[in-house]
Amino acid sequence: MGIKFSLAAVVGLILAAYIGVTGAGFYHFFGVTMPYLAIILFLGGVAYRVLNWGRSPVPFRIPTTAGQQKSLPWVKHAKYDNPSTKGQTFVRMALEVLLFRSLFRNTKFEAEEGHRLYYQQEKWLWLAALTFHYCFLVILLRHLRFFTLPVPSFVQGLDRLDGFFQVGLPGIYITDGLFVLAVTYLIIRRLVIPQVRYISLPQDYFPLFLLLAIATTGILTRYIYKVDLIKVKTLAMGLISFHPVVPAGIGTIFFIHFFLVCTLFAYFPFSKLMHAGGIFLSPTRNLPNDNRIRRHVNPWNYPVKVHTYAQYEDHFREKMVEAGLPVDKELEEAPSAPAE
Amino acid sequence: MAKVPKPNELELEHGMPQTGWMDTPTIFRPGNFSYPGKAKNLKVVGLANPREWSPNDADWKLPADWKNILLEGLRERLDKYRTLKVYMDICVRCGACADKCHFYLGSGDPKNMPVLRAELLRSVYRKEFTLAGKIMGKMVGARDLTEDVVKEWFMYFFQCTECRRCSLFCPYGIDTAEFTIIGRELLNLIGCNIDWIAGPVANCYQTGNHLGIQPHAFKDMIDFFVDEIEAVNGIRIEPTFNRKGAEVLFVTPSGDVFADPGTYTLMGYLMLFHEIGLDYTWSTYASEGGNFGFFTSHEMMKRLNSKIYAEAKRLGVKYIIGGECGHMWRVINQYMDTVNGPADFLEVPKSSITGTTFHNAASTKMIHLVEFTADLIKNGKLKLDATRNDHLKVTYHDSCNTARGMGFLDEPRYVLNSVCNNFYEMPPNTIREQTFCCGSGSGLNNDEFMEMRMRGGLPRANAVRHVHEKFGVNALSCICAIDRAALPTLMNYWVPDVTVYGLHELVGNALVMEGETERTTDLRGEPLPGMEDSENEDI
Amino acid sequence: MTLEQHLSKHKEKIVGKWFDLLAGTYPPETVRLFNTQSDPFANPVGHTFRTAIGEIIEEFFGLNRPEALTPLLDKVIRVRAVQRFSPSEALSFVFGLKPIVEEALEEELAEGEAGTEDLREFERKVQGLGLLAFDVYVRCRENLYEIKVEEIKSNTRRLLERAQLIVGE
Repeated sequence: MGIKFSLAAVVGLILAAYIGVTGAGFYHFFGVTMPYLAIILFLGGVAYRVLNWGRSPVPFRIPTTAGQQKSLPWVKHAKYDNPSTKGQTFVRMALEVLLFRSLFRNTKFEAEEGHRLYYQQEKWLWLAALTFHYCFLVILLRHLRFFTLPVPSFVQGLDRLDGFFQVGLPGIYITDGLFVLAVTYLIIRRLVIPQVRYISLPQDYFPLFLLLAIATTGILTRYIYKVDLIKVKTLAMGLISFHPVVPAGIGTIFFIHFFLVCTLFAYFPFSKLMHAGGIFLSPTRNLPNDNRIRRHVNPWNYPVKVHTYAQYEDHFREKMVEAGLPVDKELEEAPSAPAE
Repeated sequence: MAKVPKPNELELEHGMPQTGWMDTPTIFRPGNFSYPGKAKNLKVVGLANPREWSPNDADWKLPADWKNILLEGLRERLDKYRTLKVYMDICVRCGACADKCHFYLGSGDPKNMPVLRAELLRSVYRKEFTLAGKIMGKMVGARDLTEDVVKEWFMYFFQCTECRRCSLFCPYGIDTAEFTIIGRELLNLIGCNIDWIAGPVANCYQTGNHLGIQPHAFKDMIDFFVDEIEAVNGIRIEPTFNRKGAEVLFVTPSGDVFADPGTYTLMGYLMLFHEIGLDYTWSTYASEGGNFGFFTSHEMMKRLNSKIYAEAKRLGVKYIIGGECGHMWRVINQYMDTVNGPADFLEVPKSSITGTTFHNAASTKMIHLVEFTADLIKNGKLKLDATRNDHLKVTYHDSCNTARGMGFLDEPRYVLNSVCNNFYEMPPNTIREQTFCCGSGSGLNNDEFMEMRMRGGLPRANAVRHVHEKFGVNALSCICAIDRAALPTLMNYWVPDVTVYGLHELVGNALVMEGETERTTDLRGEPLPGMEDSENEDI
Repeated sequence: MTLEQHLSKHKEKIVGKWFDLLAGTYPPETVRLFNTQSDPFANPVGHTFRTAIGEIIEEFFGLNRPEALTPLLDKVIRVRAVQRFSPSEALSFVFGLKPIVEEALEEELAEGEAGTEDLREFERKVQGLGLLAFDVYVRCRENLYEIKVEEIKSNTRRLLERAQLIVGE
């Protein structure tokens, strides 16, 4: 059900853009209104979500410790798996964010007694996830060439590097291919592994289909229905300088691609894609395990009802005295013990 | 010939109903749930809705406005805990955690996959707290909060041992223990809890320890061990209780005082402290290091934990040493200073024997006995005869709490290697930070839950069996009181030839004490290697 | 060729099918785990089942000694005895062996190389295996009750001992 629904939603979006542009000629809507709307929703939404998360305090310092704690000087400390300072925590987070270290933890490349590799499935998950995210990043950065004038040298460099293998004309980007592969893997994995399929919701399929559609239409604009890049750049520069113009004659496929991207941006803050921001706020990862060294303060710590020693002694005084246990008040000076 | 029946026609129950998890009903049957909290225990600490009921009943006698209570409770906690709030939103359901849970591995029940355990709560959150959930409902994994959902929560939040193994593998660090802890906290608001937790909480609150042992009996028990030690090596130890002005307050789980084999571990403590001449005292008021309040609510954890600092202050000690326990140390390491500190009336722990200052406990002022002992050994302050443990081939079980809530991994191994000659590690993906739970943690080590415990403990037992078969391991050591209570049972069922030892029992075996008579037996009265023929008329 | 020889010819196939039957009593999500995860420590149940089923067949088609079969059956049944199965569900896999073998020998039966008499003899053996499995199951459950009692005792053993000492004096 979730799969069909998500697929239908993406197809619906494509059709909406197609009909909207070719049939109704809503160029302004798809070229100007949508991107502004999307970027407002994206920035506003992300800011809202992050601030909203941040509003909830971190009452306790509960990092998941993944290695030896800071202990006696002669005990080897696993600095980045069980950090005890902010600097070490920063490295842990960097490893987490840049290399998906926890996901990699699943991975074991050792084979035993001629068996297959351990944890094959998880290794692929890590690899696909990493490939996917990095390709996404490179592709995003490459698109900066539409929004900048002159194009920064690092974007040009990236472009050259990515298109290193000059296959065909225009040159094929490596990241395009890898991105499609990785997303396809993530979809297939969700469908064929029963455990993962069982836990999957429509909102797990939808972004994957959306991304696949974005990648496909993007590739189409470049290789099949060649879109006039100069005009696209005019549009992009117009948007970014707040003097939007929609040059005539940009292919429909571009608008479909653009609309899907806008949808992704608009959808982002309201979905699980916010894991991108959430990881930075995850208290089991972003705090050092230094509770015994430095006191962590809980802003809403409140006094609770406790059973004091005095109450305890009142209760047991006679028995304590009889057993030779020291007491604060001797029997004669204390009021008689309350009935049990 | 008659038609051959297909294999699956013979199966009375083939797999599980092919329904989505939301449509799969929760069925309580003997062995998969724990008995509910007794009204009298709830009343002692003022927990909500005390009544007699059973999970088997159709009517759970919930308070009239239970739904409101739960939703308000959830709202309050979303505002109080960033963990909960962030983890509600960011799970991508990648499935990395799915096969990391010992209960899932042992039972095969999909709702024991950590991600689904969290979804039990998330689905309600989506419905009540997100716009998409309100509009799209089930399409976005949202569902109403019904009594059936409450029953499901009760089943699965009390089928999680808060061991955090899943959290280790989660790319965002989502910690299912947070869902379980807060889920249980919510259930407690409407009086749904289990007696194996509520009972110890009530006892601990009023009397000072889980079994409700009164002060004189507590002292009596320790004196009893003093006699036993004297019988083993002729040394008379004189522990003190509630003594003002001692340098150190010692707190350990009460299981060590009453339950075998923790009792032998306790003898090890007594012997060690005596031998080094530590100026320390026991407390009958703070006679429980364990904290089942942690399995009830954050507030209850604080209420029970408060006694440790309060007693340290009253007695005027310099610092505190904590015995071998798992969740006690999770609470001490990650919560105590925050909830009941600052402990500015104490000093930074400094071992009077070695002169070592424990900078890693500069704020809590409480150190783990094993780090204290490791420091003693490192500085050559103990005379140890490891051959006295030569009848044992030892492996070591990392307690989940000290492993993943603290990172206490190498200190116990150092001590272990100093007190015994035959030490074998279990496979790498079952130890240290990847350790498997005993299956009975977080207040689930009750006997009515035995089948689930045996399932949940299977991954651990399986690894023990491996070293048992491969190296002839016959001793499973640990530094956790719940392990000492639960692992013997687990071994009894899965690997009957393996015996469970607390680390300080092995220290006690190996410790050569000043003026001792010739040792012929270990602390259990079993002959030492080479002493099999000697008479042990002392015992 | 005797029935034994026919059987050993199809051994691998029978082992596979019998494992599938056993695994099929778990949810599909779990079956996948049983099948794909080869690390015995990450997949204790699946691994135990796979090795034990092979060993049981080996012994059962071979010497068929009860004293050798008991510990092998124990490996599988000990797990199932603490899972959510009723006793009959826990043990039904044993009898599932009959149709599996019958199916495996389809050709031989059709060509008359193996007779119904052979098959009946085999079914008698399976019945024996079933009874053995029943013994094992009951022992596991007894074990479970014993350890419950044992645990309750050791949780308070010292108190009881102490109490008796006091009473005794």
